[in-house]
Amino acid sequence: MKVTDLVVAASIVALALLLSYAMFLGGIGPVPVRSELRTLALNYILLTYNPAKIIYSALAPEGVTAIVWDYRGLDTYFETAVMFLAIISVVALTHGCKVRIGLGKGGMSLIVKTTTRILMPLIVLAGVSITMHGWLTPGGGFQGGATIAVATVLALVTYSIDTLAKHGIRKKILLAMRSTGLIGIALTAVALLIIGLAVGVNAYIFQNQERMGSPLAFPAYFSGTPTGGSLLFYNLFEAFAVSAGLSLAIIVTSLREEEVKETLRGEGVE
Amino acid sequence: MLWETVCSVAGLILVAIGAFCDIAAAIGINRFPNFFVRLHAATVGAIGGAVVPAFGAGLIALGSPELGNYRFFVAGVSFTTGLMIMILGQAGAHALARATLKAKAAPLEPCVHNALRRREEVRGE
Repeated sequence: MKVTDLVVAASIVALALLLSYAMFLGGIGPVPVRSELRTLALNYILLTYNPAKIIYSALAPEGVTAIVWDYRGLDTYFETAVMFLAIISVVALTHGCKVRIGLGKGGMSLIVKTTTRILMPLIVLAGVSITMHGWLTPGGGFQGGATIAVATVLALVTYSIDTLAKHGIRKKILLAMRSTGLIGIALTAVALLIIGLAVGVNAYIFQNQERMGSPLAFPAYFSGTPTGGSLLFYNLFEAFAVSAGLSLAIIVTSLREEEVKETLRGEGVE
Repeated sequence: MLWETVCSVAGLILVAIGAFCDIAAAIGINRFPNFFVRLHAATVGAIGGAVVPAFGAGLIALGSPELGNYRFFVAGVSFTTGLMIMILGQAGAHALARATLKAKAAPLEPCVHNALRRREEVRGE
């Protein structure tokens, strides 16, 4: 072991100890110590699933999903839109680039390919499960969609981008799926508003259950199991959008040099 | 209940085997001479040190009546996780070893047996 290694290790330990000591002395400001929940947190916990106070409740046992898609749904919608814009930017950068089949050597060995073939359905199943339990247990549309996108990544690494293209997993289709998911979320957000306008009662954007002055609500139970009302639809569409979006981003960033060089030089542009 | 005790004891034995495999793998990773043999030690840690205790945890959950019906959830997740690591561990190790050998990224000495080179010789590559 070199002396420099020892010095680096000692410096890291000294930094950690000094920072801890500074924090202990209150060097980064007072650390709030609370023995009870704040009123806001307590309200969310008490009202997230509360059939006795429906006008304040999301009727979903999973608090995080209820907050993310009901209490602050508009915020989440714009977060999803920002991610969509990021993916659109990546696609725009490689506009005109196409997968040229036959460039690669056909992926990894038979052992890895067989393992991937066994695992891919399991990964998709796990993603669907995380999505479909999103309003009951921790998880949700984003987590489920990201899990499903792992199957695409695995197929891309193991089989090569050619195989994905041969099986119809192309940029245009994924972009259409991503857009469908986002439109689905937007339609769910205004669904009760449209119904309210049609039948002549009050309704709100991102309304889930009955609210003050509005009797409209998404069905909160399916054969006795809570569905979270609109949370079910948000999770499904979000999983759809995220799985397609992340798969698209991975495919676009995995394009090979030969496939992007011509377009980036401008030779492919008329 | 007898079967619950049997499950718990069998589970604890599997966890103990897992702990031994993990220690053996850790010593192997530190002491073995080159990348390929160290990879062998790593798979001992992945299969013996992760899959076996995961199955053990599932059995312990089945033998824990105080968990109620949740013990079946815990056991199911443990067995599924164990199974997935068992499928993934060997494929990952194989992919790493093959890629390293092809790219000549790690020294191959000391080498007792090289099945891939032998196959290439038979094929005349």
